[in-house]
Amino acid sequence: MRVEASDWLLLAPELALTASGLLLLALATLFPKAKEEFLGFLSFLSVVFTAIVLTIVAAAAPRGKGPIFGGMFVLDNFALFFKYLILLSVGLTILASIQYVGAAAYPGGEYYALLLFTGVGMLFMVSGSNLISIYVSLELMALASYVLAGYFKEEPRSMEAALKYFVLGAFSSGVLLYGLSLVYGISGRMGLTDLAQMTTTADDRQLAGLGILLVLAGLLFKIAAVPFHVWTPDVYEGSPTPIAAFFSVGPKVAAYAILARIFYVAFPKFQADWGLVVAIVAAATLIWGNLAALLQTNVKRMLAYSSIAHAGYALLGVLGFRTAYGLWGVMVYLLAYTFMNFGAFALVIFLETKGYAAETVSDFNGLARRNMPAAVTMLLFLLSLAGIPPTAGFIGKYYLFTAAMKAGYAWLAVLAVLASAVSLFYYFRIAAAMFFSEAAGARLQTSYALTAAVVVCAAGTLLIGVAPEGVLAVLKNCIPGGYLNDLPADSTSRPLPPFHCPSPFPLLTCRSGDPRVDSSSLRSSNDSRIRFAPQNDSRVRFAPQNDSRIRFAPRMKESVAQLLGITQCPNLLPASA
Amino acid sequence: MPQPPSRFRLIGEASTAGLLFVLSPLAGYFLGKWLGEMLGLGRILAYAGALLGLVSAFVNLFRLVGRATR
Repeated sequence: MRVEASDWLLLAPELALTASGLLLLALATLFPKAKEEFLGFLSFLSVVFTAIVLTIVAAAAPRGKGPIFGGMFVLDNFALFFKYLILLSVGLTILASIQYVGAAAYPGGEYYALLLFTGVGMLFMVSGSNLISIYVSLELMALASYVLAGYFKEEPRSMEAALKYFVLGAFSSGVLLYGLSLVYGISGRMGLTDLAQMTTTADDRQLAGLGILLVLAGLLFKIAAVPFHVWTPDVYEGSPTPIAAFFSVGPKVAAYAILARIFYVAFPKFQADWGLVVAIVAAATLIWGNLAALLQTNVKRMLAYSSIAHAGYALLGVLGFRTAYGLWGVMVYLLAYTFMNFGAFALVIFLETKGYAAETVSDFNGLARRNMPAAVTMLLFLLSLAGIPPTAGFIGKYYLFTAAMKAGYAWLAVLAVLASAVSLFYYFRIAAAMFFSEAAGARLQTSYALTAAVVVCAAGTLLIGVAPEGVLAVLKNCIPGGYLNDLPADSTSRPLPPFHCPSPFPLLTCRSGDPRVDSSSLRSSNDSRIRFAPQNDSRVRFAPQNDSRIRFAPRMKESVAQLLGITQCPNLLPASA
Repeated sequence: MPQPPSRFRLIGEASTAGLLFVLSPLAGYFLGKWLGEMLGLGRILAYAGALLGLVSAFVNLFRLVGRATR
């Protein structure tokens, strides 16, 4: 394995966050009287610092660089997007925790350090391009998460949550490893792009299918999809509320990223096998998540079941990964979900801090009379979770439902729309309690950090809903790199699955006659399909058919193209050029 | 009032949990495969059987942990 000095540069964000976590641990040990608030702000600053380092790395790293460390680690636009999202969720969790942890009788140093280590695991996870690196990073994330779930170790519910999470999580990791070993046993390969070239006999295919199924089951556990969801309500209920908020967002985002990467890059040939399973799981998740949430009176349990239902929505995007809407839909939805779900949990923390528990829906009684901004903000998050326009949730669901339709799962899209309608009922129960109930609910405690978290979440929820195109444009600028490492340097023969772009897309053209255009990857532009073929220098080469044009829609599709690294091609010019 | 299960019984149940995670999916897989071949439905029943085996193992483990923490 050849490692160049510049390879270490790509690891700088992970190294920075690890160093910050270790520094926090040292500070908490050396200065036990250090205020929890100070440690919290320090950890928040370290997350901001890591985000800055990530931006610098993405801008400075050589373009078109292939996977590093023997194909273990990759930094492409896909990973970059999720890294920013993970840092956002960790940062929001820290902001939501500062007052909460300060009021609790437990040390804050370890808490924040564990949170940062979880973040490190997730950062590595979304950059994993090898089964081993993915598994190890997933375990790094999971081990720190188990401890965080039981952080309030004197409280029986927290301990029960941690034990359940640990035991079931350990077994799900075992199932994942079981699947990985089967896949490795059949193919003899560990790299995701190598696995895509796996050829199997009829007998092997059955075993490979079983291996893929077990890998899928292991990852479905992490995203809490039915029937691997049983741990979620108990763990969310027993964990410290900021940690429950974090579990509902951070690890799920990372798990979706890796689910997308594994099944899109490594197992596209097996979609006939895993597609139906994912469709059934998505349907069961949508139905069970929403119906169970209807019956809950405990708000944290209700949000837990709601997050299960949202896992079902996001699975629609997994099914539609072969369409532009699928990949983009999952990304937009997870961004929206991070804001809206974390915002809803943050409002629960508002009511819970210092012993005032927002355990039941009745704790929200009369919130509008006591604090109108808090009630309106909560209403915004609930509307977004239900998918009502003009909120982020609507935009995310729009892309996901379209992805399911275009991937041939119209029945699932219809089911998802019906499930959204059902979800209105339980979300609006909280809204009704806030605005129409005369009875007094739990007292409201505010802090600057928590208010900042809520404001960020509310702004994100509104902004994506009202001006999605503006947000997507900002997102493009936030991703200054442009790596094509999904498409490795060594895979010259394997074309990726066709990437569908809905027509008409008049803006971008690729001129023919350029020697960089690879004629072996021709696809018709009439049916709006383009096939991207990786070449020796790890650049994507593509060529249009008939009219020498490759077409993309001006905004959304252009963003998709850039996220996939397509704009790396110097031939891609505006139509007017 | 129901008595909590004895420690030895819990240890016995816990020790079978690991086995269940291996045996249940395999049993489900082969049962589904056999049924699929009988009914001419291909390998889809094999995968469904493996998934069901896995789910049953998870549910069993969840109940076991719930009992152990009470």
